[in-house]
Amino acid sequence: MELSVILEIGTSYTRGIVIQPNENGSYKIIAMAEAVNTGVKKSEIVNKDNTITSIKTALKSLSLMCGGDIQIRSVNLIYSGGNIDCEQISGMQTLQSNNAVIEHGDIHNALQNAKTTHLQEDRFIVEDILLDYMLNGTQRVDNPIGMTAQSIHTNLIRLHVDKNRIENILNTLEDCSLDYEKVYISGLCSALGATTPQQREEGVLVINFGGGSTTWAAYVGKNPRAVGGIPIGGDHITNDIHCAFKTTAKISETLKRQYGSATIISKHQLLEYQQDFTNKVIDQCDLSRVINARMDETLRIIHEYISRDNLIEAITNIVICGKGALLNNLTTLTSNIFERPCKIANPPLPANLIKPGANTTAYVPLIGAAECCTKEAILEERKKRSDNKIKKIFQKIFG
Amino acid sequence: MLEKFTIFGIGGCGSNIAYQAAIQNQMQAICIDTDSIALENKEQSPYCKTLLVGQNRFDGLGTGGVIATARMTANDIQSELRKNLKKAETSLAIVVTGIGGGTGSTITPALLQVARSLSIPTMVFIVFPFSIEGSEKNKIANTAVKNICELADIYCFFKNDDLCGSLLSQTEVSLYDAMEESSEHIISGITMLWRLFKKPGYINLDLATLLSCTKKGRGQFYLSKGIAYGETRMQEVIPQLLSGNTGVNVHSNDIKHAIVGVYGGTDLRLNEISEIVSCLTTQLPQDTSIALGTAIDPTLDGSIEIITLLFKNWVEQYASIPEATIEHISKPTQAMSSIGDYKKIVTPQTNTNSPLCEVFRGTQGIVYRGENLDEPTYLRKRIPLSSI
Repeated sequence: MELSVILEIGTSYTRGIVIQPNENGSYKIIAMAEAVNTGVKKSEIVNKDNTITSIKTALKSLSLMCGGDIQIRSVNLIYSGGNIDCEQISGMQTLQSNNAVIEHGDIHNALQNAKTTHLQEDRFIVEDILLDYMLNGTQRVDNPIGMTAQSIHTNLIRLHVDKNRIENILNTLEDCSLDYEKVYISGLCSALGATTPQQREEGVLVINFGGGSTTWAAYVGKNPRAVGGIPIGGDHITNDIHCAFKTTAKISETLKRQYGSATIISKHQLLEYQQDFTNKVIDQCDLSRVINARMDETLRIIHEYISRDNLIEAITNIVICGKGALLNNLTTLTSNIFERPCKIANPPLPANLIKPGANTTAYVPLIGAAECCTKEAILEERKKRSDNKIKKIFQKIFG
Repeated sequence: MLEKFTIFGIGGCGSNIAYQAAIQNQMQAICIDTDSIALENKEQSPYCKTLLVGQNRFDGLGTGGVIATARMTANDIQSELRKNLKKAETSLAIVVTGIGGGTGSTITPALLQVARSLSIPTMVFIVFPFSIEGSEKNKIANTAVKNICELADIYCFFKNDDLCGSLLSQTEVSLYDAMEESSEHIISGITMLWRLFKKPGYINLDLATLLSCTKKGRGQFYLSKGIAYGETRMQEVIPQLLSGNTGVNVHSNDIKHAIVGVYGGTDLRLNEISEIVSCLTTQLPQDTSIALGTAIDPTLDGSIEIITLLFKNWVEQYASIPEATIEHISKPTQAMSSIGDYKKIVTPQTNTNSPLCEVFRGTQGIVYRGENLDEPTYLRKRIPLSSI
């Protein structure tokens, strides 16, 4: 099967992996790379040239890791904007006669009816995910084929993003002479990369803390029930620190990483740093207050989203990922706000590609997307074989 | 515009208290409820305006404690709340709410949110249910109180268990008496505040004083009061004030600010006022700032009434932050979740030119509860930093 390339154009870094999908549903990561990106803020492209440079650097690294003999022409894109949203849509198909047996065509029609649901013009549909079917508007079923009913409803969850923002990214890919195969949503991929099917079945909320945005997906049962994003990320914390202590962006970032805490540290401890050739101090307690205010607010906004339709009641665990998840005590704060246990996702990656002991949480969405790509590749392969069989049959018949 | 305050009663408990306070003091009240029967008798009063909300969802029968639907109602009625707040032309919104049920727990945050977007200061009296009312009610109350405290400027808790704690052990006390006792404590507090601001006094403490407090800081306050009559009134009133029945400990180091109102007849003596102030000065922490006011009413000859608002955990707004920085914080906009737009919790907007978020120039701004999220949270939430 062909290699697949997955690319995430993030606020701080462009990350990419190359995978080799296998027919048994597994895959092998054969290359992974990241390149600093200064062309994106809050997951929006603000400097196209810098973004192109970053993408090209990441692709070059990937190509070299694959032996330098592959030329990447198309990628699977992970979209991690703060404007991700979802809504539930449904479509109905009345059957020809009362209590008729449901066939593939009926399901297809019901799905098409659902997909005609109007969406605002400034939104771009990324995916419509099937949740379940309903017979006669009351009975929920997973597979209605062969069952009898008067009508069939399909319930889907529609994932959509800001049209202009995603088009800017796709145009940038085009400027890098790249095609895109499929767009994946960061929150959704994070959920797939950070949890097991069993965890998702039990109800899990996965939050990806990126540099420019925070995305999430809540799974209950087999399917996602809420997917979203807000354009608030690690850069906001850095800016808050900069405003509070008049530190440079670089020092603010260092203070955040080394001494920052998502919970308030009550003990007053002076932290020394050098700026403009002078020694300066700040109180770690103050630093934690600034960070806590931002993280508390961000998490409460997500809580508000997840609380819609009482979804929060079905969540049993929280998993956090992304580089922002490495902020000290973030699991404690998340756990306090959601009143659920929380842990950081740190999936294993091939030892030859990553330093031993290094944290892999930033690669979670790429791992999730790799699973999706593998499934797509298998389906594509099967379709190809089936087409070839038909072709051969036709060739036999018609010469 | 004359500075005035309007009392908003939310839910069954809040509406009853607001209604009675309005009748007693001839002040403007707006009662908001989902239960049409509870609002019926209040409609007759010239001082009280009623607002029946969520009719489309509850048929005027009350929420029945269904929080999810009540929350949707809170979203539905934002424009209605905005209209009423604007129409009231109030300088301060006094909100009385009973939490634990559906209406008070969900409509109160929505009202406070709208008040904040209109830059109307809020003073909230929050009544907790009795613990015997069940764990579910108390759980709802605990969730609601977090939202309310976040949005209110100054707020005061009234726990029915504390207010009527002594009554629970008395077998002859009826439920009616207990509830009356609980309501009476809040009503008399509001009444005293109202009189203090409205009646003439030689040491001025007007509504502007309270308003300037809400501009300087925000947080929880304790309401304590004392009433005594006759010659021994001073001996009686001070212990009442210090012990109180709201759980306040005046010795607490956390008390940063106190508003003291002394209300008496023409026989109110200067040395009595002096005694009260010196007593409080010795009892309260050294750095507590005390604002004193008096009001004289000839009908109160022979008696003395004292009310204190003690601000604990007082978060000074923009404490130690240069004025220049404060100016840059954009005022909350009205671009909150729009009516009926249940899905949108944060809304995009054109980014402001605030120097506080210069780093995000060129990106789309985002608004949540009327606030620009790109601006530092600690500034918007007025969190003081000691070292700046």
